[in-house]
Amino acid sequence: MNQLQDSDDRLEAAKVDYDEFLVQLDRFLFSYIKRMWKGRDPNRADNYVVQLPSHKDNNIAGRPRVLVGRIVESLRSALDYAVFVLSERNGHRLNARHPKFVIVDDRDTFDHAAKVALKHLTQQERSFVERLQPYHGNVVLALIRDASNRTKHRRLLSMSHNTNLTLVLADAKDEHKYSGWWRVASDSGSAFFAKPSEFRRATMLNGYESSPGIGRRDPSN
Amino acid sequence: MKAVQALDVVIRQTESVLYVIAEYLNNGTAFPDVIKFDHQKPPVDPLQPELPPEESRRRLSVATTATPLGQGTTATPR
Repeated sequence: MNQLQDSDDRLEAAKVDYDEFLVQLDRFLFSYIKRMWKGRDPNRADNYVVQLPSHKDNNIAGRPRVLVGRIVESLRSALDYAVFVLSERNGHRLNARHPKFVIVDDRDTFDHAAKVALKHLTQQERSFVERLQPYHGNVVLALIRDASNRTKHRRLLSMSHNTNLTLVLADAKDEHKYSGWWRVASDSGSAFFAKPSEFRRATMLNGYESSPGIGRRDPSN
Repeated sequence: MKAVQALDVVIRQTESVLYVIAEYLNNGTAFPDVIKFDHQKPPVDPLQPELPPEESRRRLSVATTATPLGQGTTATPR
């Protein structure tokens, strides 16, 4: 029997949302690029106009932002449920003061919070949770905490895209040279192609003490 | 504190924590003294410009990916 079924369910929900997030981020980027294309220059018909977006056009709203909020909430719930299971396994009937996976920024606060939230854990279980705390360098937990707190209190995450883009205006008959690129627009023999960096990147801008990181999904997984 | 993580890495590290707890629950495996995550340092995109330090402190990376750009010359996001 899988004792962490509830946690696993939430972890799986986060993965599903992440997959959709990737799709939604690409849709955002495509729309973002498409808005740059203005067609022929009305004053010089031989020329085309591409308008660079302003900084605020980088802001991501709507579905991608909702998905990121759901992902971090699911991850936090997954961790909370694990503590719940550990508490119950130790023979304690739980009431309204549900245990939770403590995430704090210093040892004193941890010791204080653990008296309630990790009350029913054994010493070694509590020690394991303590070793994972952000003040030991595990920034992932801080990220989950801060972002899920913001979402939980119905405050929107502020997200901005900063993926590098390559744009090309080419003769439409050279389309074969741009295999794998996005064909954003075309106009009487010319086509506007775009290719985002292999590394898509969106960042949250919520005043966290943090810096951007990038990564890639391992295609073998 | 510096947070440098992509969203897929955040998911994987959470999964790693849950895996350790599951092993403890199901098989009695002791908790490790140190949790070593497989994806602690995501690869760096050489094309990404450096952010100014002040900006860097305010930003938190949440999402990166290397999804295929699609097939064919007119590939567009779904």
